[in-house]
Amino acid sequence: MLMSKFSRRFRAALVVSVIAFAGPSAADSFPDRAVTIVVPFSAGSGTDTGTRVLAEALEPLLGQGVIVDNRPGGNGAIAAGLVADADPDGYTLLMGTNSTQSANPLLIKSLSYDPAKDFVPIGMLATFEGILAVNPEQLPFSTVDELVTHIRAHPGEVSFATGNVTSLVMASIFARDLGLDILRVPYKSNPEALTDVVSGQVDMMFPDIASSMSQIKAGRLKALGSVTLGEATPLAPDLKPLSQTVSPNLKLVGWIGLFAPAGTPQEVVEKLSAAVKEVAESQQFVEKLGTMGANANFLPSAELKAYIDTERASFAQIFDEMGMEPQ
Amino acid sequence: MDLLANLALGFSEALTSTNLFYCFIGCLLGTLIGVLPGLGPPATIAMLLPMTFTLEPSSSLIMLAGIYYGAQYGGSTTAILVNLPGESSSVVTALDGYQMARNGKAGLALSTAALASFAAGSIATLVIAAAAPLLAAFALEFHAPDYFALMVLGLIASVVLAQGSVLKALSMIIFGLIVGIVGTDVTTGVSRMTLGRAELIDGVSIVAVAMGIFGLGEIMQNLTHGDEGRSSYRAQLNSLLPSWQDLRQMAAPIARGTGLGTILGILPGGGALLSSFTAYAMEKKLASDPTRFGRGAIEGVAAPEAANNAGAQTSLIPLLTLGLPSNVIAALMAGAMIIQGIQPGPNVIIEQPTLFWGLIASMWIGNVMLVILNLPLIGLWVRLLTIPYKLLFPAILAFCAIGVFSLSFSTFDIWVMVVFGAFGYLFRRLDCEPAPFLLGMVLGPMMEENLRRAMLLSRGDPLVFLQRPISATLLLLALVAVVMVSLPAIRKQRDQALEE
Repeated sequence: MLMSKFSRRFRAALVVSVIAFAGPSAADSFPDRAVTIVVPFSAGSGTDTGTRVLAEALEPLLGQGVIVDNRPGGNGAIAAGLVADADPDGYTLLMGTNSTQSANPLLIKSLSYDPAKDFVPIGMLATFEGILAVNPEQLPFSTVDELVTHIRAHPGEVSFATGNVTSLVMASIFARDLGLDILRVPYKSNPEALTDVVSGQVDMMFPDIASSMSQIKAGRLKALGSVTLGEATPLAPDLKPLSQTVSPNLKLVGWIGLFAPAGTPQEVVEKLSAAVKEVAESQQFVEKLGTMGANANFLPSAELKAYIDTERASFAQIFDEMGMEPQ
Repeated sequence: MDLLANLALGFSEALTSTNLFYCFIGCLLGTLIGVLPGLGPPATIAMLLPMTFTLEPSSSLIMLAGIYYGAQYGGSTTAILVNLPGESSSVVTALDGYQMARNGKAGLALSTAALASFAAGSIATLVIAAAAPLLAAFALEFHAPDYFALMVLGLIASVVLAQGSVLKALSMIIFGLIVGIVGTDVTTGVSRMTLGRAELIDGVSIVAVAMGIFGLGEIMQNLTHGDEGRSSYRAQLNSLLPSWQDLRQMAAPIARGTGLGTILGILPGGGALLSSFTAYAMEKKLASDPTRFGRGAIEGVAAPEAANNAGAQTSLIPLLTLGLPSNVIAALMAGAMIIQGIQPGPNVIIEQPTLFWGLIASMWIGNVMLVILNLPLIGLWVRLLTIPYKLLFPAILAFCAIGVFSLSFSTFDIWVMVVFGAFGYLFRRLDCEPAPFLLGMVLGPMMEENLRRAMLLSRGDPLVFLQRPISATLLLLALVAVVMVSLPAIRKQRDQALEE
């Protein structure tokens, strides 16, 4: 009896000391095996290609393989729930987006994770800036002021297409800032929505640069301004951000960023963050993402957290105004 | 002349040894994944996409396109042999192809499918080369009211597909519609019937449902009925290739199927499935003896196979000429182009002529490769049927599970397949046909989405459906179909014909 009690206590003490000892050393030797980045959308999506370019560049820096694991479904909720439940050791990471981190709690009632509590941000990787694109036959205007005057003169007559949360939020902020009455026409995806703006069924849209730039160059769509975090985007330097002209609050963009499960050792997060920063700021990465229509835009952990907090509040306000509730 | 010069440019690009190699790899992979139930082109292309990072742009697109149309060849194989559609578009092929196999004509059915696919693929390639920009402009003319009218016509045509009672066919369509609307409502963002599961937010997986209803349902049916249904397979292994008379019988259906597939394929959404269903329904209507359909009619294999292959190829037109992907595959290929630094858009033909024409030329070369690849395999496939069923069905089950799992690496989809396997068995016991169910599930959500979009854009004025010539014509055709099905005199005839 006594012996077993003693040995149990001894074993417990031993375990504690091993943990205390192993803690810092685990972080020092991180990573000693392959790291998996779970992508919440299917292969070929902007999130996926951005992750793959990052993974390729991270491998030599970490000295280990980086595996990209696509787990699409539930607007990213499946992948995020998976990583939230993973061991917080830095070997399973999430490529989060504004869907997984901000929109889902407002859309899905039975979400299996809490984006604020279950994750530690490692850093924002890239932004997908938006464009105010109009069909040049339906809305033959060359400046955003002319467009706004036209919409004011014809309340409820101009229609805009939305294919995802980002394009919906952009259009909603634009309409609210300027007090405009425009008709929302929802689609399942941005390409579908863009097709109907090109064909003239719908008048305007806030697509991302990646999917719309070739249509703008070919003259099938006309760009009247950009949506950025503030400054003009290097991908379309001639386009003035709408936040600088008519819509001061229009500073929300689509983005991707790396997250670890909450409880991951601070040293591991810092190590990953430094590696991601180095990749994101390299010339090669910036150029590669530029050809995809994405803007390499590193934000460190604390700044990413602050950005998500304002984004979530902004989403909440818009969904509330539109009467959308979590289901 | 321009066309010839362009095709010459295309062939000079497609016939380089590298591109021939990747074309072959694509066709071979496409055939294999087509044969494997569940594992379809979207999952395969998604998995292979990262590998194309290092390839030349034309090589990678040639390979990815080969996977897509190659799968249309392979998809019919298991549909014919074991009533298990490898792709959702070969659901229709299973209707008569499997019956042909039961009548000892598995080889003939397989070679018919391969030849129909080849003929359609060759014609569709020519159409793309000659009229791609024109067809793309037509696709943009198709607006929300027109899509709604097309879906209405499609659903009504699926009643024509059914063998037995109209009431049962209607119930199956409605059940399909109910399953189809599970998931997020596009217009309001409200989740419908998701039972609080995140996996259901994007809807019930059509592939998992089709595998359950057709594959698992068939297995249960066969097991409860002993081995008697299987004995006929061993007969007539030698009649693999069609006779001159068979060829004459299938020529017109192939031509009609190709025409339908070419047109419907360029429309976004369920192009391939819709075109094969419509082609089948049309053949049944045109046939002098419609009762042969569902009992092993060769036209019932030739027309839909031609339609789905033609549709698969023309579905790439909006992407190549406008930069607007019209389905998941095209979206993945757009992703492959973007990775290579090519912006898919209206200027691709002008800026990248070798890429555009090379891809088109490779489609014809790929079709030749596929028919050469597939005809010798037929003997092998047919021999599979001589494997005792007690060994065959566990293998089919395992492949189904693997294929469904590969869709999104989730065990949830396997459970979906199991549940719908039970439904599939129930449908068979009740003499209800699964085809209208599946069509309702696919077309229902698209019909609803386009109805609500059309009403939004017309500000609630339903007359928009009659003002647009395309939708007015399609709705008129639907009305004619309804009258024909419901006129008591005609229905009497129909029932009499069925009893005979």
